[in-house]
Amino acid sequence: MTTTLDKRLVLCGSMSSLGTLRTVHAELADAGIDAVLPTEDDFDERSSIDDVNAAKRAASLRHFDCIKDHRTGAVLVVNVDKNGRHDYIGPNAFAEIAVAVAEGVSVYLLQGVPLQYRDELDAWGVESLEGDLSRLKWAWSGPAAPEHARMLASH
Amino acid sequence: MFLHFFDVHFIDDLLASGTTKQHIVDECGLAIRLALLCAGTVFIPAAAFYENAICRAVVGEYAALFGTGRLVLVGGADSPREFAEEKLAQYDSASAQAVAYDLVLREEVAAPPFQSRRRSATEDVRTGWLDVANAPAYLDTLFGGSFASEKTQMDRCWREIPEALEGRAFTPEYVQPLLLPDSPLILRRRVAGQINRSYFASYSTELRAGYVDDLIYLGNATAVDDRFGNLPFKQLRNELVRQHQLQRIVDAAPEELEALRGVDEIAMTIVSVMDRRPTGTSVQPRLDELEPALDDEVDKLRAIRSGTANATKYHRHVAALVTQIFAPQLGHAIIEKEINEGRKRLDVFWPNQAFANVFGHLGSQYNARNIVGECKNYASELKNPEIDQLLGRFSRQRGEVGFLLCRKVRNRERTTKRCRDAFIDGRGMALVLDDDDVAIMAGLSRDGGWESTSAAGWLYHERVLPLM
Repeated sequence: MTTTLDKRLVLCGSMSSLGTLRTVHAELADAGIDAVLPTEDDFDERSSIDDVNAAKRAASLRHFDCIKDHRTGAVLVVNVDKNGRHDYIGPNAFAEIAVAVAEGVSVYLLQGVPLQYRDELDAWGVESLEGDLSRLKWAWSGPAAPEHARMLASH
Repeated sequence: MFLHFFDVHFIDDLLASGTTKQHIVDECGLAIRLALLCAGTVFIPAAAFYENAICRAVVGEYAALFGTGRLVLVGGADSPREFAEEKLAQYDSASAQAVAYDLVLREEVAAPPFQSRRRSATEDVRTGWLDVANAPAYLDTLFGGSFASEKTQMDRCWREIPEALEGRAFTPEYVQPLLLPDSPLILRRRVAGQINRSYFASYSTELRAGYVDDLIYLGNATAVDDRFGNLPFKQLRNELVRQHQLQRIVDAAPEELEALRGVDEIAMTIVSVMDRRPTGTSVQPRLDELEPALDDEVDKLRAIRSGTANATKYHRHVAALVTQIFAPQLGHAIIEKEINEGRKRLDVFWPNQAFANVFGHLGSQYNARNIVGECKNYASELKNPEIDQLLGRFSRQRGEVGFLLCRKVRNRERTTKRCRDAFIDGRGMALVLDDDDVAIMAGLSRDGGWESTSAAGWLYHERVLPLM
């Protein structure tokens, strides 16, 4: 039987949170949790708009595939504040959450639930860690991990 | 434009959090180039230029422009020499900063011209810290709905922090332990954000400069001051790609940038992205801080007869009077400002210049970056179509708060309900003000504070709060 421990996490977030994404990735690695970072958005100033869009589309599809992969146990959205918007979830991250929910993959938010998406995210069972990554680490790698994860989800 | 992202601590924090040096260098490089295209003068924090190798390398590429005044260092001393001497006293003699400032004293650093600061950033941070606590539910605004017990603890000592610092720098590292030791990371970041916001606003207020915002790797957790026209980096970059102009800009030598400012395709792209600043005719000069008595002006307003024949007279007069009442929080009124490429006109348009108190709060919480005004010189009661007309003038870019100026509100309760419905539906904040309201506010203080003894405070308590 496959348990949460056998699965990996997929990290999501905008490029403005890249620093935090890397920090979280390192913290999870220290806790023995396998996590996948999103591909960096390398913008080439000499590209045409078609090239830019094609690169963006390819990066999005790659990350969607990562989320849908059978090895993925959950998605962690690194939704740090941006330009004064608390717990920011950008359009890409929101789409990634939707893909995860459609695939039956659990979704966690590193920070709180942004007000404008509260209804949808609550209905989809998305869990907020309120900035406390140890809650995820505990749920993920503690004894009887899947059961703890369910407890966290119902908390 | 003030390039806040070069700030030493800002870049250090980015590097510490895992952002790569290459991403920072690339984005700084394009941001300074776009700022030089958009702005008359580009200000760089002097400490960043002297202390930060990334900043010095990126700005150094524009050495050909140092003599033109397009790039200017700004710092809290009378000259680069005095600035370097003061900084040398703060650093260990073996530190990289000391070595850098030693080169300044020996005049071995080619640098843009230096401009002295008049304001104290520390004093502005302190004022901003205390101002924010005067706003209603300020801790919810700053920290969101969670963390109830932490917010209660912070509320107990927030106002004591300036004194408790006992002369130490008003920086997150000193404030955090006094405010809430061992607080969660999210709260620590938001406290730092509040301090940084006031710190950077100290520069934009003095320099009347906008920022490059909407950056990707150099993005801010906190919103920066947006009173003087910010350059939305990502939006402009992508639009220049669409117009096939970005490569041309990137390839240009520094001295060719001036000529590119005159290229139609580039200028129009910049204007289309930044089209949020007022254009049009200013009503009249303002006597910002003299608070002249406005009784005569109120009498003249009341003497204007209602009806179409006097619509223009009423429009001009009430716009001028409201401008005086809310000066200097609101800027000069622009009358008949064209929008949507001239297909529509705004009766009046006031840029919101406030960073604190009532209009600062409306700006940051309700998108009142500008105040839109519609004037109705009717004798009859205002109904939904007039309110809808004002609401239709709102936009994310233009602002979502406006004044509907009219002669007499006969049923205030019904009018308030109509505006409240629209506000709750997320259509924006329409504040209906009649002659009596204008007369009351004309007799109040113009300090912009929260008390009902000020015009802004009265507006907040009597016309804003009833909508919530």
